[in-house]
Amino acid sequence: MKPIFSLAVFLILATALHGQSILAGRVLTGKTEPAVGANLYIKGTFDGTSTDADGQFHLPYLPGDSLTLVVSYIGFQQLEKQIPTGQDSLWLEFRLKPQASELQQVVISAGAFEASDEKKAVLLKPIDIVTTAGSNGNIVAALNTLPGTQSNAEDGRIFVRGGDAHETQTFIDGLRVPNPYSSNVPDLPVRGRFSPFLFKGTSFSTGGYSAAYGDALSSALVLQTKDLPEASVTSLSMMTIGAGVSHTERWENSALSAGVDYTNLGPYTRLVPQNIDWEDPVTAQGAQVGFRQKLNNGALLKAQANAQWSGFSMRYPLPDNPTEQSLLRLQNDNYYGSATYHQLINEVWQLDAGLAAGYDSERIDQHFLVDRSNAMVQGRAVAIRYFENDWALKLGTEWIHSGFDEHYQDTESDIQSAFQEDYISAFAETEGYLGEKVALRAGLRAERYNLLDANRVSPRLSLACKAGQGGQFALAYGHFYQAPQQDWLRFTQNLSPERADHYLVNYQYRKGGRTIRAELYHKEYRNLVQFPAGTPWLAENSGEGYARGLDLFYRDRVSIPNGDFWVSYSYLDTERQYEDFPVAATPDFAAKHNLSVVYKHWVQELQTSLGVTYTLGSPRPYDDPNTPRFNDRRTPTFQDLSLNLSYLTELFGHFTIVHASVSNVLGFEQSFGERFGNQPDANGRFTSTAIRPPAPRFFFVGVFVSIGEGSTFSN
Amino acid sequence: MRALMFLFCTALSISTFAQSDRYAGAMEKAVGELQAAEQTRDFSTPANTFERITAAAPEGEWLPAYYQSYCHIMQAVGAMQQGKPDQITAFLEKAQGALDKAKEISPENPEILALQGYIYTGHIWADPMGNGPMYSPQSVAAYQTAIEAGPDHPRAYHLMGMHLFYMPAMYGGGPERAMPYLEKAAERFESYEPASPMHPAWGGYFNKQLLEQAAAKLEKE
Repeated sequence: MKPIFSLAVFLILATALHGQSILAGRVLTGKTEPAVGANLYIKGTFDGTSTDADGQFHLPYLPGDSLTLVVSYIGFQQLEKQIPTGQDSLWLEFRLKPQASELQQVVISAGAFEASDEKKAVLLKPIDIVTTAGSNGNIVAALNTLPGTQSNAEDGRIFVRGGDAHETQTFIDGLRVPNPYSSNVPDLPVRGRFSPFLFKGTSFSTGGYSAAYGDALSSALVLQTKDLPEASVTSLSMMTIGAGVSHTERWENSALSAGVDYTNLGPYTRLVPQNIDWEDPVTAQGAQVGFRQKLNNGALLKAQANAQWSGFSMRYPLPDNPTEQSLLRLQNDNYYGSATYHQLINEVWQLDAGLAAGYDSERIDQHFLVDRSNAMVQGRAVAIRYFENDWALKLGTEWIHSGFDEHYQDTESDIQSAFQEDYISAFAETEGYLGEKVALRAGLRAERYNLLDANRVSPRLSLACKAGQGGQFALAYGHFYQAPQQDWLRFTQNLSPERADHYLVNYQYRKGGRTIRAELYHKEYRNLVQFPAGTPWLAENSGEGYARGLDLFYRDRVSIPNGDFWVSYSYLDTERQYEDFPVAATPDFAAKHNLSVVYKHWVQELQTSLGVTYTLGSPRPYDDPNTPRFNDRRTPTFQDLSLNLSYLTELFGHFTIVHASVSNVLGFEQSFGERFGNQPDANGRFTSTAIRPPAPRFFFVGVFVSIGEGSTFSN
Repeated sequence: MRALMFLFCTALSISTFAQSDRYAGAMEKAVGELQAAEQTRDFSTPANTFERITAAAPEGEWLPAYYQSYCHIMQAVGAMQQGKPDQITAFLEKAQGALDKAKEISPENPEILALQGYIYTGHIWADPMGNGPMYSPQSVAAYQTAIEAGPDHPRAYHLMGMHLFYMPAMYGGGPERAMPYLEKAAERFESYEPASPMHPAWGGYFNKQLLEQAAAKLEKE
């Protein structure tokens, strides 16, 4: 027994006495910055050490056959290093690379503004849209504070980079929305139809957008609805202009929501001075239902439907002689429903499919009567294949059928026009990384315009390249087609799609809560609809134009404690010859300079968020038919300063927001040119009336109560 | 020959004994470092030590990954107190990675489920206005799951109480709503026996402090 015991002791001692070796060295982040408290350890053992304040370390170890040293540090990529055997001491120096987290990764950025809760590398969060002063819950108004847009307050729609409002298409969960704006008459601003609370993500592209979207010359606004809501909740809203109630019920794997709202501007317009002579101010009723179901295979089914009925009557300038007014009545019914299906089939394939239908009818009654209706059905399917090397391939197809019907009647004429349109498209797009520094997205889109009997293929390309820590350059290029507006198609279908080519160069730099972004663009229009013969019945695709400019954006969330602001500036140089333009000219919706400053401040002690939005638009041209030159008149400079305040509190134990806002606080004189009659009077002159906002100021007070768990609101 | 066999067996048992002994030793040392860090509030040393142990832990041991995650959450707390929102997120992401490992080893563990809620709560510190609406219901749900999985464990009650205590009243928080959870946690901190000296035992002291603060606030009102 004895000898064996001594042998064991000897074995143990031998291991212990065997000369210990020393690993020493330094861990750096970047070139000279020491990594303090980095973790170093020998793989498979518990032996290790941490670096000191100079990034230095000493690690005694027992040399074995093959040892691997692991270096780990928060925010940096983990390193492993093979230690050569048979050396007593080693000096090692490690330079760590930052973790390829979303924030530092190179991303496709040209033309795109994204707001998302899920992704980190975005410039905005959905809450930023809701809290922008002057927007009053209107997504479109908030987006109009971003660069590349125009502050055309008399219109309300989105005008992107010298493009007409119809050149922006809106998509919800990939499906096109035919009537994204509320119905109105010219010179009265419209609103977006959809509540910002419906969406978890917004991607607003001002050019060079993905091949997944089409039939839009200038811009794609892509909205993503929320998945399963977090909890059951009932929401009540009481506003100076109406009220609403909605409820969301959440079960384990499904949720159902339903709501109704009522708007009536009557009491408000009687209290606050108006520029408009209302007979029956705007009233609207809305109803929404939504359904979410998580299926056993992990797929998510989403369905929603909205209905909106609105109308008003007011005294409105007569088309022939705008200095005289007569009663105008407008009634609009709008229905939209969609269902989408999202499934990760396996680790490499994803499927997204959707169906939507919509119907919109509008009746305008003055000395004439217009009955207009739009019906739409569409289907879309997209399959995505993910590859191991971070590349993805998207394949998709969609079909949109729409029908247009219009009946115009006055004392002299009775015109009926109708047409059916089929738009079919397919696209393939690949996106991924070429090494660590370059991201690429390349796609091809094929489109069939059945009514126009035209086929088009458009390439889309977007490239981003990392330039130092936090900086990146990006490029985008693409061809974009769009069917002529229904306003012209109802006269003649002997037309072809309009075309725009986009060229974008972008630089973006972000560091710790600050982002600066500059984008240069050039857009070339061709085949625009034009009426050289003076009448839309003889329209042809001979129009052309260009838009070029510079967009600047600066966002800062850190310089002012509890404050957050962004500044957008857009310079635009554009001319086009289209529609009834006798010569190439800057259109009346295009201002050379646009500036927006959005500031938000959170006052912790008062639980209040304050917001200020300042908007400036340089003079825009408009045409006076009494002068020989086209578009030679200029509107005054447009300025607006809006304020809002949200006070977060409790009402009978329920989360409550009291929201108040006012537009044009400083009382800037706002005017948008003149509206001229379409016939000269007895003296051969065209009479006119000034275009002004509906009221010098807009006040809004609302109380929103959320009954349920947490601080969410029901849709 | 017999002697050789014996020697071989001994050596084998020594080496297996040594392996598990080394693990126990490393854990003991690390838990000691953690206890020290609870005083100094610098959790970088135990965070690194637990990370090493997690990487080489014997199969089925969830404690190292659990403690690693806990240390990173404490580092996130430190980052919050220093007003560094970017670091909060980085620490919490690392905490989540470690906790995912622990979950894989021990899926229905009430201590691990409670820590998951703590990570969600942590994300709210980084951006209360932006992250609150999304993470607050998630953390409340995680604490509830943890309570269901282990109703006699104190920490899920404690964390739920803490979450509610710091949440403004209008969002459904406040001392009044936190109180019942803090009280239940206090009872359980008294009665609950950890399975071993290595098992989680933190939270009792802070719970007592919160309970006092909540009582004081309620008295004022």
